[in-house]
Amino acid sequence: MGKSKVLVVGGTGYIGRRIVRASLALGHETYVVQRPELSLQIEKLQRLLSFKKQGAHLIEASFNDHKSLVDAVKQVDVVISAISGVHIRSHSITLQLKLVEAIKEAGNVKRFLPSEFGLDPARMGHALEPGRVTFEDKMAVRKAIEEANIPFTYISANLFAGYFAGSLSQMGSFVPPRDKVHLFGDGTLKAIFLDEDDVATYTIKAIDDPRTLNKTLYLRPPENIISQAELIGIWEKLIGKELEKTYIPPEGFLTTLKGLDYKLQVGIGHFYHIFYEGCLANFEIGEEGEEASKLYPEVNYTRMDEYLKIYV
Amino acid sequence: MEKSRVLIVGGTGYIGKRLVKASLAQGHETFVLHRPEIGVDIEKVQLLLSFKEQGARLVSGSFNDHKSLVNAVKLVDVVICAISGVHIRSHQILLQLKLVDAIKEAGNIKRFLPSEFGTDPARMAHALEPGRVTFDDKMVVRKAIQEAHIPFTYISANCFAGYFLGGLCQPGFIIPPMDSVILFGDGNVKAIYVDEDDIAMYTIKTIDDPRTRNKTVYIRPPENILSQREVVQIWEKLIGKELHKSSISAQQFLSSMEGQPYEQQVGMGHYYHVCFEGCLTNFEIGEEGVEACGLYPQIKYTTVQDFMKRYV
Repeated sequence: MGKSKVLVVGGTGYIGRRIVRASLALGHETYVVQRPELSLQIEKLQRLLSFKKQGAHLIEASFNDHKSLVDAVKQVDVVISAISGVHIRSHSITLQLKLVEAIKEAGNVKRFLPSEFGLDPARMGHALEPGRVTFEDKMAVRKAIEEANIPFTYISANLFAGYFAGSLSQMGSFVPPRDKVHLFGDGTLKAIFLDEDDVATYTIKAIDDPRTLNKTLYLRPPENIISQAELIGIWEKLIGKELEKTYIPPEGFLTTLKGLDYKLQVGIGHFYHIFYEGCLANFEIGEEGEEASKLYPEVNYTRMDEYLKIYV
Repeated sequence: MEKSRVLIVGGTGYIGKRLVKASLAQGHETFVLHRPEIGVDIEKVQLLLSFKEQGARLVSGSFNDHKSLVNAVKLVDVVICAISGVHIRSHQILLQLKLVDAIKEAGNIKRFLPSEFGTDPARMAHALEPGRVTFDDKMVVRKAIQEAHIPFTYISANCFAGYFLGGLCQPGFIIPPMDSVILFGDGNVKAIYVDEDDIAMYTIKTIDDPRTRNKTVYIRPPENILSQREVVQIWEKLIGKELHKSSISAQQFLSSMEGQPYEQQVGMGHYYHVCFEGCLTNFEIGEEGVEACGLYPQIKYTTVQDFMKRYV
């Protein structure tokens, strides 16, 4: 098939830059939004310049300038938004409503992938406050997309390995401990971990696939559906040492919420749903969803024992 | 010759990451100090892991733990420190005194390169307040090194291309303008611009070289000794358009410093010495100095013209 023209918004971010790289690697003509506001951030600028060197086109556009957004989206077939992170800073998620307005006005976009890449917000109506704000904001964006009849794919990417596997799911660190580890509950609930590069590859595979049109694509590579205890077991085997384990009951975990700042409360709420309720793996995919590793078996996704080797 | 073992402190920083890359590229066994505080910054963690994938070794150590610093330096022959930036946050420069103490105690280090990489502080005793603090602090570190009889090389790297050329030498700009430019005075004062990757390459070349022992190495690539006006002309030629030029006098520039926040005043003071006084080029290198391009003619440094092409 002919390659699509792809616009990545938030291309210098944590998952955004991997999406840019995957888009270029899979042969798409790739455009990256360069916001004028970043003129003082040398690291982001240098990252953009390195994309340019690899063949991407930089387009200047700003969320504060509707016409510049319309002009940007008119140049492409697919728009992928990767603004904000998996967790907090959720106020920036609703910036995408401006992008939706621009896509609606431009009229040419064949597929829009909003910034999701985490838990499926459609299943999180019951989530604890204040963490629920992330999901409510993402649902507001989904509603705007669907009301505007914009063709979409939602990517439910589950847990980023850099955040959750690299730390053995310990809060407050991104490197695995070598002595002691906290387990949530008994640590046996299944979660789903993905190397961020695989998230990007599956995302780019989906952008012009008719099977993912107006669908939620769940990233559930079977060998990465493991519990926290299994993850820790992988690490113990790699370092040849058993960690001292402390088990935190759900009541103990939730009491830590009180008195913490807003962002930490958001994060702790998300952790609770993942590790005490098993919300990533405790449902069957229905009609509205597809599973990425089944659709794209040619992607040789990174297993967690391979992923953790670099931390040894 | 046998390659030295190199420890880089501040390896995730702007120049530090380039030093790691250059050290690996030139075949040195490269160690990067991994401070425990870094564990909470995912970008730094992932950068460190990518160094590890390229063959670097991570060493745990903290400025708050003297023994860990001693243990780290005992692993290597050369220590290069790249903490803090060229300009502000100069309070961090004095952290190197703890590194000096560790090197002194360890006793095995054949060469120490402190964090310099800018204007030669030995020539800046007359500098304007508050910018002089950068140079005062660097001189405090130099004094400690020399009193401890630690063999050293000081790298006077002049203007970082990413900061100075990107903005056509205008403070606060890192992307070249397409319409107008402000010249400092008549724009004819010479400065020296060096691609950060070249700074790193020259630095790693010096670490084993007896000609640079206890010397200041000045990086003065002849084709990159240019005035602001000449830089602007290169850009105009590249974009095929003449910029509207206005001029700011020294007095106007200095009076605009008043009322600015501290960090801005520090940066503007530095700009003043570079762009109005020509402090990078208004002296001859004496006995205590050597010039990098003369020592290492095999390095094909990036010319200003080639550097500017990335912004077109």
